[in-house]
Amino acid sequence: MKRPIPRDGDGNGNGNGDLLKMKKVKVDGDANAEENCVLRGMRYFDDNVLFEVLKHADARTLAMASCVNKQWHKTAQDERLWELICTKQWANTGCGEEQLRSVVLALGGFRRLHSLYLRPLSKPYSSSSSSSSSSSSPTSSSVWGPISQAPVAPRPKPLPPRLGKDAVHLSLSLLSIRFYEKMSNFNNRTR
Amino acid sequence: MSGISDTERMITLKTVEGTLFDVKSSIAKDLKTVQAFIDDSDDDVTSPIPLPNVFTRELSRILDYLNNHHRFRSGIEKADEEMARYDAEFAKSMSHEELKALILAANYLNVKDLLEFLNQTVADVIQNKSVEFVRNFFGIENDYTPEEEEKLRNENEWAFNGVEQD
Repeated sequence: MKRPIPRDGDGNGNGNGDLLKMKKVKVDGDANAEENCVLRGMRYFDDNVLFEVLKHADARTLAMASCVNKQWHKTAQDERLWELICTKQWANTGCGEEQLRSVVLALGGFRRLHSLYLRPLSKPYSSSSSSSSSSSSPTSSSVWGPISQAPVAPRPKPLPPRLGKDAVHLSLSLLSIRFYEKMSNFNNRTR
Repeated sequence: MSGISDTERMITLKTVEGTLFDVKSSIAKDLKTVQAFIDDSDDDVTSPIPLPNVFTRELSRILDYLNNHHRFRSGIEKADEEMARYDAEFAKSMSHEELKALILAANYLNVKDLLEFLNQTVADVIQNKSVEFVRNFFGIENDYTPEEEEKLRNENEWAFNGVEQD
């Protein structure tokens, strides 16, 4: 029984053809099977699938991901992903997960925490704070270790550097200070 | 049929192209979508279960993966190395297109372990790559204006140091 392929009018111009909605597919002879092969894997990575993929990404990939397009930007900004990135790095903080989460979210979120305070702490000591040591060599990435060139094979993942309790507490303190500074600036302006 | 234990019961699955796959019910349990369908059915499921979103190529790969993993888990100890080697080969054997198609199929069928593995594989592929690479890989259109994109890249400048050339 043949069912028509609905054309998806979501406005995303894709030279390879219209988006094939997975639910309704025209089951035809072998001629169409090839076309289906090309189209079916192409897109339609919805937010949830994308979120699951990005859960496995490191901080750099996540930040790069936010530049890809609007859907990716929205997903890559998700606080839960940044919470994973942050907590992967640090040792026991001495307080519960829930508690930590509500505090950090109230003070500006994990993404800010990472980008403003955790990331600088993870970089190796370098004389100039603006140059990341990875820019000097095309294949090395000093913090993350050597990158293998094998396509699609799972790489041995270099572990992100572990931050000790002090470093974590320092970052959290700096985050609170920043928050309160902003709040007091705001209050001063409204007086 | 009498006298057959639960794990030996076979389930038949039908792909988009109409191909039928006979699957042991112990394997079918890993296809959570299918298992839910079975659980929801009042009677024993005897006719083939249609999978409108799954193509033969993907289902075949998924079943291959599951059969092998079941084999590794039920066998002698030391299977971890074998399993890792199998997983590496499995990932390498697919093109980017096939990898994406498999993720979508595994997502629909809700095959948790395989999905974790595939997501990790894709994350590894895009690690340290450029935005253009990612767009190509996923077939994504850039819907940012040049100004918006420049602003974003500046904000995330640190992420672009040491990016692999495409």
